[in-house]
Amino acid sequence: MSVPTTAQALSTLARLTLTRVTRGKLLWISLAIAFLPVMFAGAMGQAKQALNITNATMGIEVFVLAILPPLYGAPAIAEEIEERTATYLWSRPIARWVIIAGKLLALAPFAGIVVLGSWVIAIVVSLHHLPSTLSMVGLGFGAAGITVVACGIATLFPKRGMALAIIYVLIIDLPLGEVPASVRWLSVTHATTTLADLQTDTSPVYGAIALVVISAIWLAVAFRRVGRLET
Amino acid sequence: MTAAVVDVVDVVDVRACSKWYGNVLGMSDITWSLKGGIVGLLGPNGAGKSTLIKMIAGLHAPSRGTLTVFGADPFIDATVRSRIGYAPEHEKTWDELTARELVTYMAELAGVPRADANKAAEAALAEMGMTTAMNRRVRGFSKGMRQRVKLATAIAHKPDLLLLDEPLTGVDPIARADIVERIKKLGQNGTTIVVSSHVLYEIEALTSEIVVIYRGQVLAEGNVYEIRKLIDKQPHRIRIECDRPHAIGTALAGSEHVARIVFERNAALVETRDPDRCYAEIADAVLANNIAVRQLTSPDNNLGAVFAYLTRAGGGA
Repeated sequence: MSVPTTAQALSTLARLTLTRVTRGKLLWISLAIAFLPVMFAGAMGQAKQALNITNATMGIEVFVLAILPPLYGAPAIAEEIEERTATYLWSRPIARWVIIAGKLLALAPFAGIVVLGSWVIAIVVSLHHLPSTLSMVGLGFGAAGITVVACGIATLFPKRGMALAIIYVLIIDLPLGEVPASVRWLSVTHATTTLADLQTDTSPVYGAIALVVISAIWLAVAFRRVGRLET
Repeated sequence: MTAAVVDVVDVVDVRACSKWYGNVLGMSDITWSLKGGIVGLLGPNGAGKSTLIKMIAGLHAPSRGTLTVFGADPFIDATVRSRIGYAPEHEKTWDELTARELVTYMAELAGVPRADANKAAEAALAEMGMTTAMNRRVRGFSKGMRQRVKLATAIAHKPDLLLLDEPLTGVDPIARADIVERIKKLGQNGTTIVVSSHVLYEIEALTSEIVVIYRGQVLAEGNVYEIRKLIDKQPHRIRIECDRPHAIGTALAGSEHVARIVFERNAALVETRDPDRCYAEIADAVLANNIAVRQLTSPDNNLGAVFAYLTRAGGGA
């Protein structure tokens, strides 16, 4: 019997993960959360002040950003360890980092698309036009990055992975991003809002760089950690 | 003329292996090798059977010592893991998937090309008697069906070594007999099988070669009947569930090999020093008195008796 190539294993894991996500209750929970900005924007649509609506809806969207990607990213490995289904994957002839990478290959874009869809629909409903390209790029890639961060956190604490990932983003990362000092570049939500061109004092390019670096660090944490975990 | 020297590599070779989980000792200095066939790992819950199986499957690395499968370390070498099929003890799987999807994905991840994986899954599920249910989601499956699906995930890529951790737990007697036959068939086809259980008769139904594990150590190894002979030297209990237990008691009371008879509701529990003779006398008593026997069991046939005996023997008692 041959060993699957990395590309084959990534493809199989991504398909397996997508099949599970689209059939689980998580999909409906995340769609309900993603609908919150749409409802808010619909109610705000009466105000007729475009800038206020955009900013206010983005405030809700950032809240969605803090909750929704961890719902996808944290269980990627933590749930497998908790439910002991990781044994099925880890006994296969594939490297453990491939397992995480394959799962994130499906989950990060999926979370990005859900958050992006929520943002686009909210703005179209309230302002009857598409949001700016940078805001769409920022939120989409930001959601994917936060999914990776949540996955990394959950590999450190598999038993409370999802809760800790959400708490981290809400309680630590969001306030950190508001600190008027360079330490705010440690915040993935700050990187996201910068990339989305919502930080008027900074170029989106810095947001993109910060997002890539933060995601890469947490991905490295996840890869390293998963190689040592035992079920 | 020179003779060719052939290196025969053990399927599994465990040398002075220990495993700690923090401060808890999971396995203690085990040395054991396996050349082939079906071997049963026997031990009570927490004895270290699952730890050993997980280490052979490459899920855990030994804390000390070396463990090789087909000559390589399964924790590091992915090629070796492609030759191993592992069915874990727990029954959790991905319930959102159908049995066919689950086994197909697992086959692909074990190295079966995507184009062949579906056929491999179908064949494995058929081999486990799951053809009619293969398109149903695992969520609605009984324990027996889950066990069969688990076994199918383990055999779909046609492994050379099959590791089955408590494959009969929670399975009803009819399904158990069926699964046992299917596992035996795999063994007859040349697959080396390591199967764990804490129930002696489950293992006896599969193989006569056993390794007794207790408190993380190999306590005994060899033919199950040899171990049973050791047990049979000890007082042996036979429970006869019947309509007239006192009639059985009366018939056996005079025999010198009978140490004690305890009457329960609709049952007699006989303690004997000569099980073979006792079984013969019970049969005679049943026939002579026209007694309706519902069940004849030996409480000593569970593994607890083996461990108690071997532990005492090992302790110099």
